[in-house]
Amino acid sequence: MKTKILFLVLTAALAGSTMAAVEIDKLESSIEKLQAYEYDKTNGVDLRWVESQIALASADNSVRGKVETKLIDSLAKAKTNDAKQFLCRQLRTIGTSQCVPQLASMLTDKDISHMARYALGRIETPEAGNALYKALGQTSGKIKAGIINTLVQMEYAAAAYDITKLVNDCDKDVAIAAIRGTGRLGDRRTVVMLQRMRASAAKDMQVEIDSAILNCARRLVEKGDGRSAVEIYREYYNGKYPEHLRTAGLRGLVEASGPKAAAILVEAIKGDDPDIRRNAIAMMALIKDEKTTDTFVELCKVVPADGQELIVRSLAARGDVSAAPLVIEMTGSTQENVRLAALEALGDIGTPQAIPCLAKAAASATEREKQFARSSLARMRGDGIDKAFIHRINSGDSGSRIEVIRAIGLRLDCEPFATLHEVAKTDADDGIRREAIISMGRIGKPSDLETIVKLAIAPKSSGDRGAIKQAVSIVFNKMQNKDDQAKPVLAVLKTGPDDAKISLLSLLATPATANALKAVSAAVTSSNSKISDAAIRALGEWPNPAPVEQLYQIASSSTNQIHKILALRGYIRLTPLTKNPTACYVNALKLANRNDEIRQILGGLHHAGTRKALEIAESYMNDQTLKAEAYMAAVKVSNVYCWEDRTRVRAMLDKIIADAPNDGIRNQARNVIRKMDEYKSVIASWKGTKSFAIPGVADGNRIFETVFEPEKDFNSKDIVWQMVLPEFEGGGKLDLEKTYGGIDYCCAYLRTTIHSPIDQEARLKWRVDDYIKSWLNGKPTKDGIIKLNKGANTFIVKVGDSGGGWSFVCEIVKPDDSRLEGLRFER
Amino acid sequence: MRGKQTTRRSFLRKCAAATVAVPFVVNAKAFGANDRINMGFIGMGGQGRGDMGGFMGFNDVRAVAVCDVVDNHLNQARDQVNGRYGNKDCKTYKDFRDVIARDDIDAIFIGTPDHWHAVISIAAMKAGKDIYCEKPETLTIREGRQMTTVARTYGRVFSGGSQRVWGDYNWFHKMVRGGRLGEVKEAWVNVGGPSGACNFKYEPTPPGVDWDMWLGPAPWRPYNESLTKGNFRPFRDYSGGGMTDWGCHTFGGALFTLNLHKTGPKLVLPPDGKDVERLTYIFDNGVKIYHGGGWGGIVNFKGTEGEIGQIGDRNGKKESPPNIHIPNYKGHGGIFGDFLHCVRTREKPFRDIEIAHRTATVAHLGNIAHWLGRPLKWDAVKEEIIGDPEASRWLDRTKREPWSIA
Repeated sequence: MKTKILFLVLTAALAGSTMAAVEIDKLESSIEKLQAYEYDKTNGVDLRWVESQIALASADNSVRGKVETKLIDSLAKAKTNDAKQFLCRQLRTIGTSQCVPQLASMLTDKDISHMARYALGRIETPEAGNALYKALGQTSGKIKAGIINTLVQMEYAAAAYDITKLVNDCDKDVAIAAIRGTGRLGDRRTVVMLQRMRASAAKDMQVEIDSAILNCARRLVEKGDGRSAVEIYREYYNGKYPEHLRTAGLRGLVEASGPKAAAILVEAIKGDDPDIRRNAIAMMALIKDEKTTDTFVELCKVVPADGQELIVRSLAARGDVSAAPLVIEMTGSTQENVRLAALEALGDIGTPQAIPCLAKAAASATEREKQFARSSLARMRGDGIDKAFIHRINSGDSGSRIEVIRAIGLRLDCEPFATLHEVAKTDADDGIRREAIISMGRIGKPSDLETIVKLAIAPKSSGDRGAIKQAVSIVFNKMQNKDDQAKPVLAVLKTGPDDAKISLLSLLATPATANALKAVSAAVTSSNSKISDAAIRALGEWPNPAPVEQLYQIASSSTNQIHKILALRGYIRLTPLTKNPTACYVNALKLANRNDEIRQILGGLHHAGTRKALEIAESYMNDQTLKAEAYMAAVKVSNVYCWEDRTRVRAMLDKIIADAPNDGIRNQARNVIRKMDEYKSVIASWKGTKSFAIPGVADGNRIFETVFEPEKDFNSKDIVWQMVLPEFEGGGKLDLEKTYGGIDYCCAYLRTTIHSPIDQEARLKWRVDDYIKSWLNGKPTKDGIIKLNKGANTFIVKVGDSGGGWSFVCEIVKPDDSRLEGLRFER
Repeated sequence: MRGKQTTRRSFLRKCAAATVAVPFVVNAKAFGANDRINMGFIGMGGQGRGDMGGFMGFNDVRAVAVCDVVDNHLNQARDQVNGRYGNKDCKTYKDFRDVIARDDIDAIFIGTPDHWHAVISIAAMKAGKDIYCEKPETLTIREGRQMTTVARTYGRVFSGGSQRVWGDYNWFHKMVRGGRLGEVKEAWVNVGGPSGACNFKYEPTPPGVDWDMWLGPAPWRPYNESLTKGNFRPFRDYSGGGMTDWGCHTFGGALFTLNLHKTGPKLVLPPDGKDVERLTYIFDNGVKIYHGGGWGGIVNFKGTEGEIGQIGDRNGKKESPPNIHIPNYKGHGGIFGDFLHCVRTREKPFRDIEIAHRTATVAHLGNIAHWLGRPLKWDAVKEEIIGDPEASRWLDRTKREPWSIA
């Protein structure tokens, strides 16, 4: 449906009906203003707007002539070369034969000749070519070379004779342009002339002459004079030329020799020049008929192994399946590189006969060969391949059948689903059955979910339930609707056997719908302890903090010791997802009786990254059984919290370095101190908005100057502020790409709270790539002296990117540039 | 002195003539201590020097020449090479033609701004050099076709410089080609927008900068420091903006994932503020690739049976991809190793010029549609814009004298 809409849009747009109208008056006025344009002095005109208007006008016949006339008139009156340049660029977009006289008058002016050609070269009217041709005789040196180049680019054949006469010009640029031109415009006689010239030419000119001769030869082939071309190519191939020219000769020969080409290549491959051999093998793909395939196949049998490897790859590139029998044979080569090449080639030119061979290699060859064979099984396409796969599901040894079934899962052909279902229910081989179940998931549609879930009710072996869970998860990935995901699982939970319930409960953490939560919560009270255990485990795997309260209740009040343990474990796992991780860790700590539970809490404290988290870690530093974990937790919390309270963190880190139980922890603490020292005055505690861009706009400054939603009200509740990673790039700036990814032409808003112990003046310093502006306590502020209030100060920056890296750094120091102690920053 | 050096090619020829015991196709294992790939490095800004460091990490590569039109870049590059080898042998050049003219150089690295890529690479290939060229490999669509033609004519190895298409995005390739999303019909590529006019002010050209050579085939304009310090991408004369910069990585990744990397779109619809929210490419098989949008980082795919972004699925779950092999780099050592392997075997590298050109074409077409503000019909076989001669003018540009790629 969406495609249909796009086609309608396209049709309408191509007809011009949906295109924006040209603002002709404003455009004409802007063009006039640009008569005095100099770089950076646009007289108030937006150059990019003018360009876009001219582009619109080029497709709008109602204004096109008028705009062109205005451009020509302005070009004639232009006061600067910068203005002429800009106007020529516009005529390149919109110009017709009407503008040719004005542009032609500029061709002999060394300062602006190129821009005249820039326009003329792309205006495909005879007048443009004629004007350039006329200027050829009026110019010299580089300007003349440029005119030749443009005539050649336009394939202006009438200039061929005059250009040819210039191949010996005393100006080297002109001579090179002329030689190149003869290659594009010349004929057989030109080749003879160039060949004579080559004998006495300097080396760099020989390069140009060879290129011109080869271009002439190509033109001869295109014009039907293959015989003359073959002579030229043979001369290069057989002559005493460098390897790249012999290769060019060989390639030309192959392309121009029709049915004889294969024999030429075979001769080259059997020849004694390894460079030519390698290039000749690469050229095999140029000849595609089946008869030639036989020739290459025979050749492959008689060359050494390293040649076979390349030939097999070339056969694959040719795409002719008639080479498949040879390539299948090569999978049995004694050389691994040949076997790998053959296994890979079968992905391109494999036939149904290749399936058993690939399946066997995938099941029992070396690890590398297994990968190659599996890839080819998944990639191979062609007549009868899909059906051959279905046929092979039930034939062959166990390992091969598993590989065939696995490949079916990757080939996405849905037809074998029923066959796989049967295998999944009945096959005696555990491995085959489980692979079939997983492949059912891979090729199954959302509508097949129920069939797969029901396998869990009465599997042939209870061990199959792991594969069933995996298959269900795969199908979940194909579904948008969470309720649809949960529905068949909930049905089995209602009526299925307990074993199935135990197996499937954890799957409900994926859809995590209200109904799913209700069902899992209810299962917590099941009389079957294995079901209630599984339910609590499932709650602990929830993707959001919804079950946190229930888990806390179970952990704090259940009489079942296992339930208490499982629930507390889940509660601690979900804590980082909660709004107040610190409070949750405090709660967890009150319930934790076992060292492994306290270890789990200590391991997660950095997610809180607060003073309290640091205190919790500290409180276990004297506990001999938890000392290592506590010290490590303290380092990790410090690494996050250091940007908010340097003094407190520094004291902690000094203590860690003095008393830590091992050097690893000590070194990590030193790293945090190093980072704090390196960025001692830097504000690194930031929360940021999402990034903002304007689709289709690659103007970083324009995007930066655009007022996006947060800037209208920084206190709006609609703004989502997320932690900005305190990662620094090589130049010591905060690397925003670590948080926002490698995007260009965008901006983002970042905020922090600066706590000052007193009212005081400070100096704000910043460096940025590429743009920055800021607000302190709601008022725009610049770098330099700022006034901090006692207590909390809200500081917001807007940082823009115009391509490449995206980073900035803000520092706060005393007005005299010395270090300002006592500030605290809070995200 | 130069005449006494043994280059890779002369070494091979000697081996072939001396004994029939050499392998049929010489591979890395057969190379002797003296046999190395001599490379010349052109365009020595930050990216160029970084890449050069990567190449010098290969034992069988020798950096023998560096070239830049900015003295500061050139000197840093020279010091980097000499520091690596512990000598003072590295030769410096300000004109790339002098590097290409050296017989002892096998391969050329190009890290200049985009407007130079075609001119330098074509000149080098005509002189028999293999090419590793940073992305975006082309400035115009016609340049890309011509670079491909020359590479094929002379049998040159040409690797474009997007390490991300495989290196960063292979999870997507495996997930999609491995069938985990079912049939994929939509993808979102989040890269920057098109380039435009440059209006930087005049500044005096400082000593140590050959400004005329920096501009080369681009229209003349006065010097501005920003341009020589890497900020050339937003400007049409030198680059295609974010569309071609990250686009050559990420459109490349999306196209490879969707197996569309050897073709092109049939329709390109620019955003019109009404029905078409964002630049949209439509391919023959009905696949749509959008510029911008999506939900999960730089690229998203939506299939009939699931959707993925950089963080995995919408819940942030990044499942292990199917364990399949997708033909990718040959040899060892990422995209550089792939190139060096192919220099020896004459195979096509992963980012062969044809693939690079097709990828850049997608980005260029997006730019043209943006600049003109109208939809384009594209014939991906003939590489022509259908029914819009004015739009077709943007397929190529007339280069400043004396430069050409004929």
